[in-house]
Amino acid sequence: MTSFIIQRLLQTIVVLFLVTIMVFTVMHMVPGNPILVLLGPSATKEQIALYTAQFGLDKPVLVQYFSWVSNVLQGDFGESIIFRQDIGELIATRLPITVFVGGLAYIISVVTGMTAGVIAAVKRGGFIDSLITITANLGMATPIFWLGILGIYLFSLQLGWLPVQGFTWLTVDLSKGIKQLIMPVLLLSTVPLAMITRQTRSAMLEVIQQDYIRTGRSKGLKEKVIIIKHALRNALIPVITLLGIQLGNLVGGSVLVEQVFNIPGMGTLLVQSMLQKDFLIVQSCVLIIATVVALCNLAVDIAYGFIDPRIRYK
Amino acid sequence: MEHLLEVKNLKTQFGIDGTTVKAVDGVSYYVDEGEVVAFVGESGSGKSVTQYSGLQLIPSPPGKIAGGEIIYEGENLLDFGPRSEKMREIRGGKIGVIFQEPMTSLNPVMTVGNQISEAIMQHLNLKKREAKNRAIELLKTVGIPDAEHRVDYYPHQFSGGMRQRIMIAMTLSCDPKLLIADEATTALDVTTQAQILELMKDVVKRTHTSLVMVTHNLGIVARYADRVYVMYAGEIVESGPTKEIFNNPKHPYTLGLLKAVPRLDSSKDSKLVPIDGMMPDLSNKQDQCAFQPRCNHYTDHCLSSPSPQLKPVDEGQKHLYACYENINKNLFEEKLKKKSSIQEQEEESLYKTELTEEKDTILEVKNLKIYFPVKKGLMKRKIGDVKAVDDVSFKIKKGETLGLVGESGCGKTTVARSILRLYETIDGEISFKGQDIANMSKKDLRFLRKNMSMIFQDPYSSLDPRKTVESIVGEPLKNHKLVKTQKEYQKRISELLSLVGLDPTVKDRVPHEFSGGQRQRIGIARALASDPSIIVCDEAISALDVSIQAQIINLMKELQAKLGLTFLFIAHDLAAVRHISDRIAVMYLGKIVEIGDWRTLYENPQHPYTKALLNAVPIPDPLVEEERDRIIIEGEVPSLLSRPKGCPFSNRCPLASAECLDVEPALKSIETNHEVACIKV
Repeated sequence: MTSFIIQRLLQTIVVLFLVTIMVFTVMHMVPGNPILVLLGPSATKEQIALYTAQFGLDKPVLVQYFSWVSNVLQGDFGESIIFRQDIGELIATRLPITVFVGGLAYIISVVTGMTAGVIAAVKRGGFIDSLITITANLGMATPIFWLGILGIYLFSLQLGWLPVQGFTWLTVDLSKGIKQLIMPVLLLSTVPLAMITRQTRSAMLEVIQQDYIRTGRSKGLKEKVIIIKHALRNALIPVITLLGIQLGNLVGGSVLVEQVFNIPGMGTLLVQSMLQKDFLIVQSCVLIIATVVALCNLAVDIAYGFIDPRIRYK
Repeated sequence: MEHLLEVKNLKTQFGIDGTTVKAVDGVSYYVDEGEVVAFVGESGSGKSVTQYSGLQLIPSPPGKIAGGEIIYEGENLLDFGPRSEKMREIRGGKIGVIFQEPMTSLNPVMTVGNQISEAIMQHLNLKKREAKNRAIELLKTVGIPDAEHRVDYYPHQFSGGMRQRIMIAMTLSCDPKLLIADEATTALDVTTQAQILELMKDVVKRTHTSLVMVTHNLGIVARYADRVYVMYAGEIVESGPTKEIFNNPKHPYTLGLLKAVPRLDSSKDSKLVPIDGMMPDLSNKQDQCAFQPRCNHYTDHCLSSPSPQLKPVDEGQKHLYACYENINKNLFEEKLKKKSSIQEQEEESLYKTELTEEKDTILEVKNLKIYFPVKKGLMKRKIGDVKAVDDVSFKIKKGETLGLVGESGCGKTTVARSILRLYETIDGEISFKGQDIANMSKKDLRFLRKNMSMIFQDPYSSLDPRKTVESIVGEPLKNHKLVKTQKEYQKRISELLSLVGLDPTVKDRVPHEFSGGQRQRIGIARALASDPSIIVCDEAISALDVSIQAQIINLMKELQAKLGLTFLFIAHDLAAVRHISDRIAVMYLGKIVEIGDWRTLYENPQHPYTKALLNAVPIPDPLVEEERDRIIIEGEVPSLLSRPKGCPFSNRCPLASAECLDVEPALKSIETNHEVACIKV
């Protein structure tokens, strides 16, 4: 198991290194120049040259790449061209918001999804099963932005129950914060919730037919014990794979939802910087998101080992 | 006297695709205290469903118990729901079940100790610590060494035999009064099977528990059971004391079964008599004798009457049978003779297995070694070899059948695969018709593929479910360009199908429309298509029911005589191997330990392993069984990684001495056609 973890860690490092190359190359290949965006159309050639030199953009691309990577390794993300602010600080205010909103959505979708999946599997073929399955299918099929617009129209504009947009930390204003959170979190969790429900249901259905479940029944165990202790733990193995994948999808979802609800997280920062060609920020954001996702996937792999002794003792 | 368990007129049905399958149709039986009762029958006869119905373990839906009573200690268990408190008390607490598949019947993510204590805590109200101690005690009782440590192991860390012991420990954990063993040893190797059966017998005797054995193996029934119920198509067709049933079988199905099983001790190499046809579809069962379509003795009365009821053979006897006719062994055999007398004369010569003339060697294997590297660690460094096949040599002559027997892990399948060159590199020599094929290039191998084919074990997974019979059988013809025109192709396919006893009109159907036996016939037709000179049969009959097995064995023998085929027949069923083989090689841990012609090997086995193997096979005759000495060898086949240093069998051998642990014995000839690898011989 230890050698397995070390192996996966090394793989993660290689992946992150490839990510730096890719994001750097892409950002330098797209047309546009942050200096031009910063100075506006009236800038003179001298001004442009001065700023370009100041941000080191006149150096060869390879030198730029290596100085960026070596700075990042030392914890220095550089300075934003547009915001004129240290990127590290910028991210430090933005990342917690995204992690909070995304994490909340993730927890909701995992807990609700698995519960709904187990219930559907146990009540297979019944009314509750049909209800859960149909809802899950709807959740997967509905475009999130459409659902978002619908939600804003209905709950904010027509009924006036929820604010249209914004983000407030719960410590600052609890009731306002919760109201602002409801729609983004629900929207963000819709797709993962639906997929986890379906995956749990089918994994459970398969496990319930296994011989060891019959063994459990033949021992006279309570049905609750059989489902939770015996079946669910085995069914978790395929579900956990999906949890890893969903984490990646959640990042994409965050970008969208933060835009729609104007939440000052990593997603809005990323989009804004991309439009303004502030590539140092884009590079840093992508790298940080990639690190978070890679670490979470590592955690998923380690979780396999905890759940399935056959992997642990290999 | 009050019975421990009495079942009256039990009916269990499954609603599948809108039809009702009557899996158990009016079954009545009883089990007394301390008794060993066997249920025999082929797959689909309802013997397992009957047992599960009693415990309400039938998956519902689609299953439902449509009627009957199950009286246990004066209470009708069907009055309680499957999830009721009472039912859970009975399951595990009063009646324990040992299931067929030890590999899948334990939860892979829980330690065996927890799985055992769980039941103990449920039924005996013990604390966790006490339950674990009891679990350790139980593991010791069933012969798990080092139980204190192993209680915290997970199922995958045990072998199949060990898992079945754990399963038994689990069932015994709450002192049940009745044990149900549902094909509990079917998935195990012969020597392990004998160990587990002896263990169950001892436990049952010591604790005065009753045992219900559900099995298709008549040998096991003869060796262990006090009473027998024979089931067919969801009904009990015959029941009575074991000796009575074997000595004086009355139902044509029982008679047929006994004739169809290959026996280790049959006096001559007789032809097996299969039961023609197959089990009827239970979804539209009529009130009529279900066995009639396969029966040689039916009269008009059988056709027009309702399903026959069980009646005693003689007034007041415990031996009951359900048949309108009064058949016995002699009448049954007379009819068989009459039916096949013409055929028999023609075929008689086919079953003389003595090789009278020296024939050419078609395949010779010399010093074959197949090692698989074992890799470990981050860098996947090679740390050793698994010696799957270690220095094996043998010859097969044209037209003969060489049987290769041994328990799982002995390397018999690896030998087969290397002969077909399914491994890239092979150390040793394999010459086929004088050509060295061990080092043959891929291009030249095409010649080999045409001349050698294989029949596989599982008729269900070895045929592509989306292809028609025609394209399955015709693939080798096209691949090797053996036919020139479409007409010739069609003709050859019809020919092949008739050869294996299938109607050529079935060629547009797909595999799932056929039964197991028919599928295996398709597999054989495919193997025959390229007109090979040697066919490797890897456990080709072990997945089939007894009556079907006999059909396939007979078919293979017929084909051999007709087409001059050579077979390499790999199997673990020693009785079947004896029946079909001219010569037999016994393998253990990658080595041949004894090889000889069938008669010498079975009548005068020399290697202690061969002796133990033969001894472990029960013979379907209680009288013979009573007189046999039973030597049960200890232990299990060791892992190939921990092979004993000297003789591979030394750590289990009753004769082993210090010398055996040191010296690896080579095969030596002790008489014509008989070689043994043992220094004690």
